[in-house]
Amino acid sequence: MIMSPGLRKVTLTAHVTSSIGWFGGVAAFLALAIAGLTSQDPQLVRAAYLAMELTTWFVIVPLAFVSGLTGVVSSLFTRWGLFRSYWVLMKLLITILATIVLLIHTQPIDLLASVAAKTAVLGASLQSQQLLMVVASSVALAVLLVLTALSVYKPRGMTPYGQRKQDEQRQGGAAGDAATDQAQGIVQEREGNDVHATTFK
Amino acid sequence: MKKSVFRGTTEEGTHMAAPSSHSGTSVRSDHASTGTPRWVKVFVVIIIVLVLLFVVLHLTGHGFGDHMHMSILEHGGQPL
Repeated sequence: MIMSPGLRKVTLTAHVTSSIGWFGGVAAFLALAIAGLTSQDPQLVRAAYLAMELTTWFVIVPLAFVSGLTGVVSSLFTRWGLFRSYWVLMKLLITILATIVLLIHTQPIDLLASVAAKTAVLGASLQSQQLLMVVASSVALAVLLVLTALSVYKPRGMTPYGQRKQDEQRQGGAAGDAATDQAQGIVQEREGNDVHATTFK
Repeated sequence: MKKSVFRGTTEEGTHMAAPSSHSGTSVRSDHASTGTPRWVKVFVVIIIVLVLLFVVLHLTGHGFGDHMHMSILEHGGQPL
């Protein structure tokens, strides 16, 4: 089933907006993670980790799911299909993996936020967790950039399933064209007979 | 002379714009090249390496597993 152009644009707008929002949320997260790791001000460090938890649960996670969902809908109900082109399939795979990794990393984010909420100064043993936040969000930004590049460049290549579907459509189209030609021939023949009949009246 | 990052990218200008309903230029030429494109193979290898790296790091304790069950004081924090 193919969506109407209006509905397709609504879904596409939601997909682009949520994807850009996801990228922006992760960029803000990275800034906070760097501040939390490098700042000497304990108040700023605590505020950074509390803000990171809020950003994660109320911006990044919801936008990741909206982006994935609208992406699936946009592809399934347009002629691109979800499994026809490699670039769409690759985007789906990367988005699923990125969302799983994101959900796994909510645990250390919650831990850092809970420690920041209950203590005046973060202990030195959390240094590796703080560093992990910077590394993970940097990798996430790179992955989201790759997803954006895939959408823009749309590298060629159809999956075997996509090629099969395309062949089916071509055969269907060829059969339709043949039927149209036959129908036009009959109409022209009838029109010709009418002309003859009128002439000889 | 401009070169594309991906070999043989499509010419669609818009994000997720639907291809032509008449098996247009981009989709038709996709069919011409059989087999898995090189960029797909490269992507798959990179994804597998990253996933393995992630799993190995967490299994060897370089992730966050060891810290999750410790109390706040064990983390060396100073209570408010």
